Amino acid sequence: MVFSSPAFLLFFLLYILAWTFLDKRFRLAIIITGSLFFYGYWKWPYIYIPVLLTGIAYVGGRVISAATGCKKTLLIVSTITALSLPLVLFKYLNFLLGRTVVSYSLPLGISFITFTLISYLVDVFKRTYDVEKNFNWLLAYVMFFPQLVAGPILRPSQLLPQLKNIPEPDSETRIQALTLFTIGLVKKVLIADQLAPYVATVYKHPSDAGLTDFLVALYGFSAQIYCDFSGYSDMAIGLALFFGIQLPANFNRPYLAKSITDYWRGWHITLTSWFRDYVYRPLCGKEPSPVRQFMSAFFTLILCGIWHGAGWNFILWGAVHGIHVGIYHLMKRYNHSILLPTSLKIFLMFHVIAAVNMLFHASGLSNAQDVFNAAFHVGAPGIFTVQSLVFPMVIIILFYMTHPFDTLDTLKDIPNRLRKRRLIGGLAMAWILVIILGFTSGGSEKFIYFDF
Amino acid sequence: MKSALSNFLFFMLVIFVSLLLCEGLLRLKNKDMKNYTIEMWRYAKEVKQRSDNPRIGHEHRPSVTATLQSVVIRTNRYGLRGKELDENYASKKRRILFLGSSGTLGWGVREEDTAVEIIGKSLGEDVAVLNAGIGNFNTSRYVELFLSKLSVLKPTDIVVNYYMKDAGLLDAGGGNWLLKHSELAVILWEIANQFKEENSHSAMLDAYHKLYQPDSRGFLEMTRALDRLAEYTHSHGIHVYFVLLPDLYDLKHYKYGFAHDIMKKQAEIRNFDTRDLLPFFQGENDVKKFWVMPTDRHPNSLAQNIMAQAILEMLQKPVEKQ
Repeated sequence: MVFSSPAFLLFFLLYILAWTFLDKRFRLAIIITGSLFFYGYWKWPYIYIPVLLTGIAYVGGRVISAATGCKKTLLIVSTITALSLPLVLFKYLNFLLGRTVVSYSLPLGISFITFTLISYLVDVFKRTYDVEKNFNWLLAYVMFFPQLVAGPILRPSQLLPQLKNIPEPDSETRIQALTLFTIGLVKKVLIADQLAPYVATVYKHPSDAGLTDFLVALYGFSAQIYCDFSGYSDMAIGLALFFGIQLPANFNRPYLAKSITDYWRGWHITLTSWFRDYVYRPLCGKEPSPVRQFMSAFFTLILCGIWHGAGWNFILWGAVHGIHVGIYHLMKRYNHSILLPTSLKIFLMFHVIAAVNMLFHASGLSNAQDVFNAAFHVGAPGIFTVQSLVFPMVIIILFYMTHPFDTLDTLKDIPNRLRKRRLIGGLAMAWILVIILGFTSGGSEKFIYFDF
Repeated sequence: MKSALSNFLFFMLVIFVSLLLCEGLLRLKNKDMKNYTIEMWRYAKEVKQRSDNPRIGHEHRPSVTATLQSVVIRTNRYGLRGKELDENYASKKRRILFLGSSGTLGWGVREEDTAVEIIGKSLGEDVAVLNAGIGNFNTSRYVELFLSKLSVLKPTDIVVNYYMKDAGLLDAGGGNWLLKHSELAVILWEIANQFKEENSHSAMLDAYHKLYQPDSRGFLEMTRALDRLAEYTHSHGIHVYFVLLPDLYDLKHYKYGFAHDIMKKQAEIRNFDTRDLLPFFQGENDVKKFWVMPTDRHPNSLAQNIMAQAILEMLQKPVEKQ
């Protein structure tokens, strides 16, 4: 179920009614059944997958917490392997074998669910979080619908204590939640969905594309993918906040990054910190050699690329980021820095990121190469007429103008800064625009990150 | 009281500004000519006019050119799509007039790629082929258009490109000022219609089954129009070819065969030469390859070419007296 669909709004209305009118002791049941329905609505036969994975993590967690020494290590390795098997089977097997063996569609959010459960197991292993004795709470932690299919990826300590002791949100919190959800919806429907057809056309017909079309793909896709995913995150955070649950920020103005690590501190923050804590740091150790530090960064980001998808374009994307981060660490280690004005650093960093991110949309390496080649088709007539480019240009300019203000704190502060009447007026205006422009796009597109 | 009034005025202002913003954004967005509804609306505004004959409803303006859905549509002085008639038109060996709706017009297809134009080129200089297809037309309207306005062209042959929707009844429409001038109003009207109408395929199938009942008003009007056409053409020695165009949706499990069967009988009763184009398309899995746009299933240049070849074969056969 897509947050920006009419079906979700109906589901949410019923969920709120159950939440409000049923006794508090039913809340765990509401979270689980509601979230199972939310998940199953996409494909009912797959509804058992998150439950099965949670079952594996539950049993694994209980056994790991009771074990010691080598046995404990062996147990966590085997449980994580078992937990990752469906992910490998559905997402990577065809790619690894180079032919279609599994023709089933990828279960929604399987990468997110697997990573959430791995973080639970590792935290139990490291004793930074107590093992969960009640299976239903663990299931609620994984299934809580606002973060179920595309994150933010939460550690057990970030969500479980809140779920077990849900505060009753006041009306101000609810208004804040509605504001966040609406802003996420605007990002998704008014920016990402509106740019999607233009970007898709360039990727579909790269040989017809000229320089202008390449620029549409470059700036358009950067705006699209950011608004698609940060819009989803804002909606998820807003939805959780509606029930009094605080989710962490997932984005912090990544396109204003001055360096590559700065970028990763602002892009998909919960995934980045997951890879940092569970992959990079264990690989790197406490005092790594320069080679080990470089290779750890390189390997971590290759893995991050593979997490996003089974394809050479994702591996290349990870490798480029890995080399970039590795070089940055080495330069920092030897106190080398590039002396440039901050604005130029931001400008250059953005263009590097935008160019590398173009690999994300490509169907493969040759498609990506064809799109890049379009940059050299100077003077070619191209795909779009000047007239038809006015609309995406307006959307792209509006996006980049507002990006500096797009932090979770700023967004949460909007209701405090505006008088109530103006806030409601602004929200009403946003919803009118979303409904009408959303309708002309033939309904909201699926979120890009659902495929990851 | 004062505060309530001020709140009310404020929200009225919010709605007004929002709608104004929507209108502006839609106008910018629709410059890409990809919104089928808006392009059809522009077609109605820029190419059509209200007919002085109420039975026709609307017709093409004479001698206009407009770019719609990224394709140029021009009309000649008779309102037919295409260039002006040749000077030696009257002396041509054959003068073939195509009647039909948007599929015949070649909606979304360049003039040179329409079935009518391909047929014209294939038949050579001695034959004039004219396209009287008009979007959002039905059988009653195109027969009336021919009888009241186009019979002066003295065709030797008429090809009726019949699509199963042509039995449907059409509203006069076009009277609403807002709908004439605002793209937002058109979109809101479309949203309202989607809520009002049942658009599922089973509902469409039901609707067509009802439409093709012998006592349905649309069916009766359509058969009456065919009677009028048969009477005129038989008395004037005009040969009529009746071509059944399939619905380009589910060609693997085609559900509208019943309408084709009914119409084949109707054509045979009137001694029209009949050809069903369904077998030329049936069985195709990837129907979208025949559509002008992913959101518009009018026949594209590939489908128009298939139509042209099938009709051409029929037109080149020796004619039997009808």
